Amino acid sequence: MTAPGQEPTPPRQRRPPPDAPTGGLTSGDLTPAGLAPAGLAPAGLAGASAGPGSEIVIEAERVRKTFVQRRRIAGQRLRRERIDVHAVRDVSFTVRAGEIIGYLGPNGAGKSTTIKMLIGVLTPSAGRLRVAGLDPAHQRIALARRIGVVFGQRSTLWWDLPLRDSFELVRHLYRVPPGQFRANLARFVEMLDLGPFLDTPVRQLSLGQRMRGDLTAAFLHDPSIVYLDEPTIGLDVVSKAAVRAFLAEKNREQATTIMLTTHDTADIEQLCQRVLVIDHGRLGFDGDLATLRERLGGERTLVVDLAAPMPPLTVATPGAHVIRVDGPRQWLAFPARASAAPLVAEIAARYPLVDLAIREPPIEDVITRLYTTGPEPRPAAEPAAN
Amino acid sequence: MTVAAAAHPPGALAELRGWVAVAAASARANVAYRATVAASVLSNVTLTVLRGYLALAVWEAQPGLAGYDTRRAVTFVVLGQALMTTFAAFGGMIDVPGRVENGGIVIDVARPFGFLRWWLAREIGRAAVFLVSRAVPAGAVGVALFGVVLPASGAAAAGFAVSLVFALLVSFGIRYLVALTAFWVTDARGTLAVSSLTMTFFSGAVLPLTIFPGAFGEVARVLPFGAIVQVPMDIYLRPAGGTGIGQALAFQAAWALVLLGASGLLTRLALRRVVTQGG
Amino acid sequence: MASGKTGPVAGVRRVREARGVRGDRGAGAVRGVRGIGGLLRAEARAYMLLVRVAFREAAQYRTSLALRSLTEAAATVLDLAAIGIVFAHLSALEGFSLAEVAFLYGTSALAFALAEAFVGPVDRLGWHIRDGRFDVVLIRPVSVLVQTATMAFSPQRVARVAQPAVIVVVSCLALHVHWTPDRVLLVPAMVLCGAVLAASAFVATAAVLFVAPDATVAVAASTQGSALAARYPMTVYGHHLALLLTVVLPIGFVSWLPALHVLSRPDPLGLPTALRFASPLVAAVAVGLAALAWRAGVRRYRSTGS
Ligand SMILES: Nc1ncnc2c1ncn2[C@@H]1O[C@H](COP(=O)(O)OP(=O)(O)OP(=O)(O)O)[C@@H](O)[C@H]1O
Ligand SMILES: [Mg+2]
Repeated sequence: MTAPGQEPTPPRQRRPPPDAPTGGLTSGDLTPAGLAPAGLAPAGLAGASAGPGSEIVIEAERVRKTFVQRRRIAGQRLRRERIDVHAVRDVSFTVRAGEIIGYLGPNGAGKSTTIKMLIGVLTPSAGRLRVAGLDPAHQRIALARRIGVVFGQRSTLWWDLPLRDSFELVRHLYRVPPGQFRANLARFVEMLDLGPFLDTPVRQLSLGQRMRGDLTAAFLHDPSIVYLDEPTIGLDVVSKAAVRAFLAEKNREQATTIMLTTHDTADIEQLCQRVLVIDHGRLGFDGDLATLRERLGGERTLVVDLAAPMPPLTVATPGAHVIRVDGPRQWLAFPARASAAPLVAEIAARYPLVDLAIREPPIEDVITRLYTTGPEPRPAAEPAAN
Repeated sequence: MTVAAAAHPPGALAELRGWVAVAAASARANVAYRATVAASVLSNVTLTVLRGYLALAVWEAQPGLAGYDTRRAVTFVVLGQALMTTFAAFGGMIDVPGRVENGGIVIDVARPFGFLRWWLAREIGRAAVFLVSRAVPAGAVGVALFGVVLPASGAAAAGFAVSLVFALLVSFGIRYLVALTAFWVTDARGTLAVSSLTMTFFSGAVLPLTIFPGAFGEVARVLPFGAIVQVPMDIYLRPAGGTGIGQALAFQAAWALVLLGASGLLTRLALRRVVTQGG
Repeated sequence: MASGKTGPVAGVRRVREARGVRGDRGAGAVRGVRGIGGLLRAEARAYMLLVRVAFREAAQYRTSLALRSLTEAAATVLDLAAIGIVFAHLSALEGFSLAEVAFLYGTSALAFALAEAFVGPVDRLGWHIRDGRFDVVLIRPVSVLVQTATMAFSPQRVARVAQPAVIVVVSCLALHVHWTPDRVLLVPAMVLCGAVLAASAFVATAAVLFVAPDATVAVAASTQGSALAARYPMTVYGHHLALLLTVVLPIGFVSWLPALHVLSRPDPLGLPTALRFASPLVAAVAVGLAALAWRAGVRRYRSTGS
């Protein structure tokens, strides 16, 4: 099961979650990576390099899904028109064993539709799909044994049965050998803290408890690929952290390939080595997060603490300017693509510098920018980075 | 819904507009899928034809059974089938249990349009669609194939029209009360099954209630279920100069009143204990 | 509540354990070689497992289960009463004696009840699709048909077989028929073929729900219609309709045509005698067509936007 060459990726998780309270200068968004020369991806972030040379497990080639929707014509009571909704258009990408892929996009972009095609729930209207060497729509059952699926909005558990019974059933349906089942269940129950709920009927579980149950069910048969469609939707901070830690652990331990859609930027920051961005059914970006940030430009912020309050600094470094002053602390914006080194050097030389920090543009900003610039003419719109 | 957003016209007018909006939305939802409507019309016509022929054969073998001659019997069966679908004599169709299960009930309760009213208005919309799309084609086929008789007098025709309104109210009342049990039992399938069976059997849709012998028949004829199919058909088939139309309508009206009153009361109790499941 | 160790699921587990821990890796190819027999066995096992689960789920709601069981019993009684009331007033229908009509009624009702017991819940498919519960069915490694046929499986539907079975037995005793071996054999054979035909009809019509998930009522009505049509002598429906119901829609093959042989009657429609023994063939074709329709349906499944 373990892919060759699968080294535990340097943990992205070491970064504190951005939703941790941010206080002074030494807060979470002080990124050591920010000090690296611009254009160089921080170590461990280069997702496409996870398990280099490992086998391709998902292959999508010009995949397309068109839904026919019927809508009432405005103003007319009975006439209806037929509209083709191109939920996914000519999407191509490949995924290698052991990758964690974030699949992003605004509402209605086509994320869930893509995932459903990858599972074999929906038949593509055109294009070619191979998952673990199988054609999902035609070899659905064979594929189902090798993959796990979590729908954040939809439980795969048996509503009226205790959690434990649902797991038993999964075991039989997926033909999990007893030893493997016992070991996995014990482990997952401990990791996800499910012990107290094992005998509760699923309908009485809270959303977070149920989600942890769903996660367990999806991993019991040691799938080599797991899809998660908004797994953290509606969860509190603690549950989200538990879900993320679990996914990271499974990925590290067994090189499980994970593909998740989410609207939570923290999920992406903490888990995803690589992101795919889809909008209006078209793939707009495929690469790692740092590249995404860089491509889209924007500004990074240098925060400096001076020995004493001063009027706004004047700096000669091109593009840099003060955006905020608060006592001895000042904020300077500078182009994200530029190196921070000349600016830091200049300030250190000319002013009484006590401390400094560099802040990356928040991922929210990057993504918002990506969505609002539209899918078509965009420098980042470049096929697979790997 | 558009009404809520519009400027609030005063009192009764606003109320009426609300009803119209909800009923219209429900009617639209019921014609939303044309293939579905077509399939339903077709299957309903087929059932009508089959049951019509069957009645014809039975009454030819045994003329005068249950007090009907052959043409009246076929009329009863054919129109009864149409009424049965329009007024959902087989129960269900009010999806309170589903809403309780999927948590949507919270939204229904929060709506600024009474809970009972909401479901009744929806039923009116649905029944209107069913009347046009299921009952009328089936009735037309009945006229063409079996020579269904027409009401003997204007009074019978008018009485029949009024009785349809009461039939809907009675049918709604029963089904709504049953649907409300979902607030108390986690699984309403049991109560639904019981009600479905009782309603179908005692509405007159399976067999005319006049065929039931003795005390069993007596009881069957005072239960509210008969108001859905048997009573309207009685009025329809009343011979010229026949009396008792007013009495039949009063019977329906009384049950409608009782059931809607009970519905109102039970609604208040039910909403006090909105329990939703899951998250 | 029973723990995971003793539940009905445990029985299946024992079976699996007895077969040894066989790694699933690379088993795909092996399974292919074992062919259709192995596949059917696997599906049957999954079917039984899911039926047990459904029983268990039903047992979670005791009041409801009790009510439904009671209703089922009451329905049987009322149904019998309705038949009784009609038959009490009839001595013959379309030239068929009461016992003969009862035989037709019983055999076709039994065939439909058996089909209902096995695949009845497929007509609920539309509901599952509409609430978006159906995506989950498609992610499990079990065939869609098996899962659909066992979703909301109600234990009582099995009991529904009893009433028509009683009618068959009683009518056979009342019939004035010379029971030659071929006639005796034909009775169970026609019920079996009829059940297969009815099940195919259920599945094929339910496949429509993949495209029109709101058509549940129409689909239920069409199965109800075919059950109704099969129950009485075909001649009740007039010559043309009877031909339509026998030759075009194979409803006549459920019990009418084979029953004509059992009752040794000439065919009022004048169809060839050979057709009376054609039910197995017709049933086989129906299974094939139903499978095609079902597959086409699954492929057209469009999920819900969520
Ligand atoms: N079953 C369906 N029938 C018709 N149209 C659909 C269906 N499912 C999705 N669509 C349409 O396809 C498009 C993509 O939907 P999809 O669910 O894939 O979006 P998404 O990226 O998952 O969005 P979200 O973030 O809101 O979940 C939307 O325009 C949607 O309206
Ligand atoms: Mg989605």
